[in-house]
Amino acid sequence: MSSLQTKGTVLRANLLENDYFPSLLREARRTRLLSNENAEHIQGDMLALLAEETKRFTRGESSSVPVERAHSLLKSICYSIGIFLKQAASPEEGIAVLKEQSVRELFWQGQTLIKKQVGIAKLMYRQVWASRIETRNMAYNDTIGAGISSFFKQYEPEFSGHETPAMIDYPIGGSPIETEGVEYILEYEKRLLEENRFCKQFTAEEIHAVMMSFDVGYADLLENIYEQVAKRVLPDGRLEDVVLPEVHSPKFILDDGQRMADEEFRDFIEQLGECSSADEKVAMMHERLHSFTDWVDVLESGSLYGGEFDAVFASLEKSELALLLKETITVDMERLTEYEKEWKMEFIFFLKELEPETRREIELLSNDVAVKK
Amino acid sequence: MDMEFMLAPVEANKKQSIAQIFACNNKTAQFGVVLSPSEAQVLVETRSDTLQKMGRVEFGGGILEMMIFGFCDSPYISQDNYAQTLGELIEIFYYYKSELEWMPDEELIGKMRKLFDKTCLGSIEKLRNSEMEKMVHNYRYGISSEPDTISYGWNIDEEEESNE
Repeated sequence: MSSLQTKGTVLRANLLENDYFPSLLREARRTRLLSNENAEHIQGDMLALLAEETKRFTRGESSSVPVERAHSLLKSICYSIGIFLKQAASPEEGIAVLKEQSVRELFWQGQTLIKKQVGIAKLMYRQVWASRIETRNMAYNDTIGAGISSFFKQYEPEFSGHETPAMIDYPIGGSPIETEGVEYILEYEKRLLEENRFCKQFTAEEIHAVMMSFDVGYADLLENIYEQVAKRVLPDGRLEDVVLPEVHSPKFILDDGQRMADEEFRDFIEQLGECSSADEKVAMMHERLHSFTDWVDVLESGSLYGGEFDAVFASLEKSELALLLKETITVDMERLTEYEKEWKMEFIFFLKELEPETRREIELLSNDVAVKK
Repeated sequence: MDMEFMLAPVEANKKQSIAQIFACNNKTAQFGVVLSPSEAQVLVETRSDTLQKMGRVEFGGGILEMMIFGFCDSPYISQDNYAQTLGELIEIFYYYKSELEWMPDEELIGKMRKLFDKTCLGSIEKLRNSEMEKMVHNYRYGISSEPDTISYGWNIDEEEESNE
């Protein structure tokens, strides 16, 4: 009878995704696949490794750290070792590796693996970004923009590999993600990519109509778009008839106003570029532009930069903002020019900063107004 | 992973620390101050208690040696008050280390020495209750920069080499 048969079997249910190494150690001791002597040796090595990492963390300048910091460094060490041991074909094989290699070796091999996975996550993020859907939902736009990308700037694999420093508000579909750190980001991106690809089968207007039928204030909600869309897909792949693009006929149709001739518009743009401040640009636009289409053309001309967009939007009435909101949801993002994408993203960020009541008022208004072109 | 066993002081480490402190006498004797074995033990216990009270953990020898060499040649320290002063300085160090986490140990001990000699004129109470607080306040609000630190007893090796 082999020695393994006299010992217990590792119960997979006792292994924790987000605390893998400690849970594997506990199972190893419970099943006697790891002797008490082995376990004590490992704990002694862990203490030495923790001392080394603490010294590296403080750059050798401090001999003491707060207990919370030491605890976090220990969690990071465990995360790194755990991520490496998860590669083993089975938990039993992982325990065998644990007996053969020092925790220091396992830690640094884990670090190498984490760095590779961060590289993969960066590549996957490009795919996520390229496949993003056009939506008014703030949580989606924020997460897919600064939210996920902040992870790559702030993640520290060596000292806090177990943390996930990313501003992720958008709720991904499916069961909660159990992992942490780079594993969490990889799983989140994988699911988001699948959801984006699914939703891309439908136009932005169709998705908008689905979300409006769910809740007119969906822009502010923490709601998964894919799940709402998926619920309304018929066996033949089309969306249910209830989600027609034009859900709501506008109550007020406004005249566009007197448009500038092309040459006059070009001169205007040139003069706008000579303005020395955002206020000056805003004043000039209010004085000389009398057509909604001209306003949009100026926004798309590349004549405004950064904070100047906010200054322009802040100078508009709610009804005018409502008309602009309609403009942001009409065309597939992929077909937009860079300038078109820029002002629409700036507009979405501007709306996000408004008081929720004001934003909701503008969203409701956007259903009731339209411009006769 | 059980943190408790890792962060509690181990008996072997304490013995090592006591021996390390006692060995400092070889260099501090020239300034007229030495620690007895029992005084060394008390210092190690003080360190351990203060670390626990301040919610900190320390690996290796810690700052004991640095503190001893940092203050042994102070004009306000004599054999009569040496052990007690060191004990109080250790408490002050770990308390203010928590307030000035970013500052290297060496620099913090240097600033304590500067304040102890120049401003507090050897008064531990004034250092603990007034001057250290002012220093933290100044750093927090960017009020003024600290004057240059002075040369210390723990640069003994460099001084011995230059005298040879």
